Amino acid sequence: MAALLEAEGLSKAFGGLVAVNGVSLSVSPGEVLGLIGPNGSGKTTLLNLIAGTTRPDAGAIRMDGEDVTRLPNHLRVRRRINRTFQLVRMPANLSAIETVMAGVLYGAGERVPFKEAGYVAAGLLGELNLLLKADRRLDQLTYIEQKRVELARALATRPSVLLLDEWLSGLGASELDGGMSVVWSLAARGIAVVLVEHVMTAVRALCGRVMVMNAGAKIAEGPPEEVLRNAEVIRAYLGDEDA
Amino acid sequence: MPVIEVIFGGVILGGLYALVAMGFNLQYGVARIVNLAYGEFLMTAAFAAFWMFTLFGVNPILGMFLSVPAAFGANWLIYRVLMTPLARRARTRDQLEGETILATFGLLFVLRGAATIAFTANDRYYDYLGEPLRLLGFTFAANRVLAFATAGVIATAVWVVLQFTRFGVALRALAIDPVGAQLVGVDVRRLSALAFACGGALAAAAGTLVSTFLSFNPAIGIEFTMKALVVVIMGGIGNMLGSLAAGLMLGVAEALCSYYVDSGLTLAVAYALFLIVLVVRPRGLFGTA
Amino acid sequence: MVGEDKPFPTRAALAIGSLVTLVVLLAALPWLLSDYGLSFMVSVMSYLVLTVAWALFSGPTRLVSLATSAFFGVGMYTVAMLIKLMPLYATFAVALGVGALLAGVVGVLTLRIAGMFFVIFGFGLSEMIRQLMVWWEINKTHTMGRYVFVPFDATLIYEHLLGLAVIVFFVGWQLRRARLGLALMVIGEDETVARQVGVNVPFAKVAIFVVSAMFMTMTGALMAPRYGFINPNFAFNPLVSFQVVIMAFLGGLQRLWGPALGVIPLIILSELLQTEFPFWFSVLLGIVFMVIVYFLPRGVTGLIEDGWKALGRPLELQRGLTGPLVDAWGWMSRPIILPRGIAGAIEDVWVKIAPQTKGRR
Ligand SMILES: Nc1ncnc2c1ncn2[C@@H]1O[C@H](COP(=O)(O)OP(=O)(O)O)[C@@H](O)[C@H]1O
Ligand SMILES: [Mg+2]
Repeated sequence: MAALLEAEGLSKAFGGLVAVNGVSLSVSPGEVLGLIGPNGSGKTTLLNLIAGTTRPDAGAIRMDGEDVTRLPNHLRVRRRINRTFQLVRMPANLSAIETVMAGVLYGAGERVPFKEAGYVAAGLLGELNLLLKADRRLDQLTYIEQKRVELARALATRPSVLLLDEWLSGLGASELDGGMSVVWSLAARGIAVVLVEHVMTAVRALCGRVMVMNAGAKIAEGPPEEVLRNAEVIRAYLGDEDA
Repeated sequence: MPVIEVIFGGVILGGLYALVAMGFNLQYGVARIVNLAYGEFLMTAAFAAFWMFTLFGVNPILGMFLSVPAAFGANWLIYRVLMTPLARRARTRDQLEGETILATFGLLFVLRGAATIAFTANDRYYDYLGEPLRLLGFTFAANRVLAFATAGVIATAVWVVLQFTRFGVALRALAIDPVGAQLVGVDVRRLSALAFACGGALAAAAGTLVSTFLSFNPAIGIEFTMKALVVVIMGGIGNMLGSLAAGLMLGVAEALCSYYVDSGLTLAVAYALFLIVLVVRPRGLFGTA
Repeated sequence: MVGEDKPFPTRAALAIGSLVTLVVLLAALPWLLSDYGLSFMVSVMSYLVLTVAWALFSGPTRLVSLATSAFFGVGMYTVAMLIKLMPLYATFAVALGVGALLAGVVGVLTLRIAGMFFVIFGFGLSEMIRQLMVWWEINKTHTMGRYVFVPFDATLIYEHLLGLAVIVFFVGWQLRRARLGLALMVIGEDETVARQVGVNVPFAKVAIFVVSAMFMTMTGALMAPRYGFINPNFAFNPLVSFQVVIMAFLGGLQRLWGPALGVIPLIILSELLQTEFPFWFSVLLGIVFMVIVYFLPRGVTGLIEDGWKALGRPLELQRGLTGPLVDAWGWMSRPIILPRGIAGAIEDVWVKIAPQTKGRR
């Protein structure tokens, strides 16, 4: 299938530190691309570059054939690229449903009338088993619920590329199953998912393709079994115990 | 009057602005307090100099040995009593800025109102070294030259302290990276209080100098606060040499404007410079320290 | 918020009914009050509009605007300058345009970058415009003030201000159930999230800033005929900005009507002190404000709400005449939402999808 999102030679330096160094990436609709690598290897920064949270120093990003490299964050959202944050970001004084409604109202595609946005948002929360928590605020939700609300907020903008930054980390064994099935269902409805993850069971089960980063550079790419056997990858991980 | 003389006049004024801005920069760049009442301290010091001079004939430059330490103490107290609770409850730097803006905005009206009650709203002026002085073939009022020289001495002293003492290094570290500074053992609270107090002391010095050659009233504070803000933003937050350069620029720009257009438009000049910086280089002409 | 124990339409009707009655009563005041009473109400009404308009922008975005007096002054002085050239209403229209333009320019220049710049810029804006106007009047037009003599008396001013107040409340109320209002709430909480839901953050901020400034400008314009003689020093008075901020903080920003609660006590204070002891007034204002910043971050509204909580559910108290008014307040200031509230939406969707959800669990 033709790639939906293509990034080419993305680079970003913070002062002297090169966080992302000439990384290319592509994902197709319905595909789950795994992105792994030790902490500090530049995964989050790469997602920031794609989502438009940060501007790249070099490289290009194409979405559905259109060059979006220079588009600001909110316009990339309207071009159907969205993401979750590694550390949950949710407006502290708004309820879950209000946050999701904002996404429904400002997201890609046709404008949803304000009166219907609440229903759409409630529907999305319902899909993620959060309906009864719809009027809760950030501090009234558990960590896992917060992560789900954030996913609902991202889905509300009707993305076709979704960047999940360690969305499955911190889940217990039983919750992990539920979380994995959510990711799987996203891909099943045709969303191209980039999954940054340390939980290898999830990566093995969900990803058709895995990309490994180390020190800002891509060091391997391919099917999960193959890549995870790769000597360089093992070395990269063993070099960093907390990975 | 030749343009060169106008520019010299601007440099003299600019030296004073640089001093005003350095004090503000210590408070904002290091202690992270946006002090909207900054100009009120300057105004208070100007009145102190005025009364000491007219009542007791105290030489304003010597009077600074009294008013500057007093201002230091007062500002240290203000930081301890009024700013510490805000610093403690603010979770982010933006929040701290927002809260201190509000608190010092209230303080501004308290101080200004109190000064007006105490000293009336009238313009004040005293005659100190008003005679002309010939310098490099140009004529200047002696009090302006003295003010410039004093400002220069103080600014140099501040710079030397910041550059070459342990205290100065700690202050600069705090300006650049508060978290990092804390990690290497800098006592942030104590140092912030000292930086804030030093800023207030510089405001008092500047106020004294202002009183020697300009007329003033209890309402002048806002204008000096505004100019300090503009100069600090132009020069870069936390960047003392930037403040110096930007202060001189503002002084010269103002002098040129008063000469060619009107002397009543000084704030407009500051605003024009502010706008240029906002549009062209929001991080300051010389970057952040 | 008020409980949902009765069917909604009746409550809405009651709320609207009591609000309409309130407005009608207020509109009748000029014929019921003495001259002094009327002039007091003109002050109240003008500051009511200014404060609620201020809160439209500064409430959700949490950017403290210190530029109120700049817009107020622009409105007032535009009318003063043009009154000899065109009919009164035409001067109002021009003033409104000038205010909107100024707000647009200031917003575009300062709202794109860190909030600090905006606050600082607003802080000196009024003072700078005052300087420019003084210079202009002395050097170009050779006047040091303008006479505004038009048949537009206190009663007319008051009624116009009341109309403006109704509009600003309506706009605020609509905003709480509109896309832009929700976007502003998200912006105030976390701009990164706002961008990530697709909000054009600078645009949203500038838009609401312009709207808010237009109300302020219009208030200034309406107040111009109140004073026979206007000069720049009078029109651009920094105390206006300060009073508005205090009133809003005193009232509290969580509710639409919150800021309004702060207006009356301060106007009374100002009436008592401002003419005879203007500088004590300034000192007192400063102290009041600092007390609010330090001890009452949620304003009087917060106190009242806490009081209600302490007293148990407010609706269990004797409702009396104020009952419908309380409902109206509650209804007007309900945090953003659909006509029937979040609860309504949730109930509906719940009914539709509950079986499946249960099944999957
Ligand atoms: N805003 C920033 N400023 C400075 N350095 C940053 C910033 N964001 C990330 N970095 C640095 O870039 C590197 C890559 O970080 P990150 O992308 O978060 O890695 P990962 O998500 O793979 O753990 C790290 O060394 C981190 O410290
Ligand atoms: Mg990361």
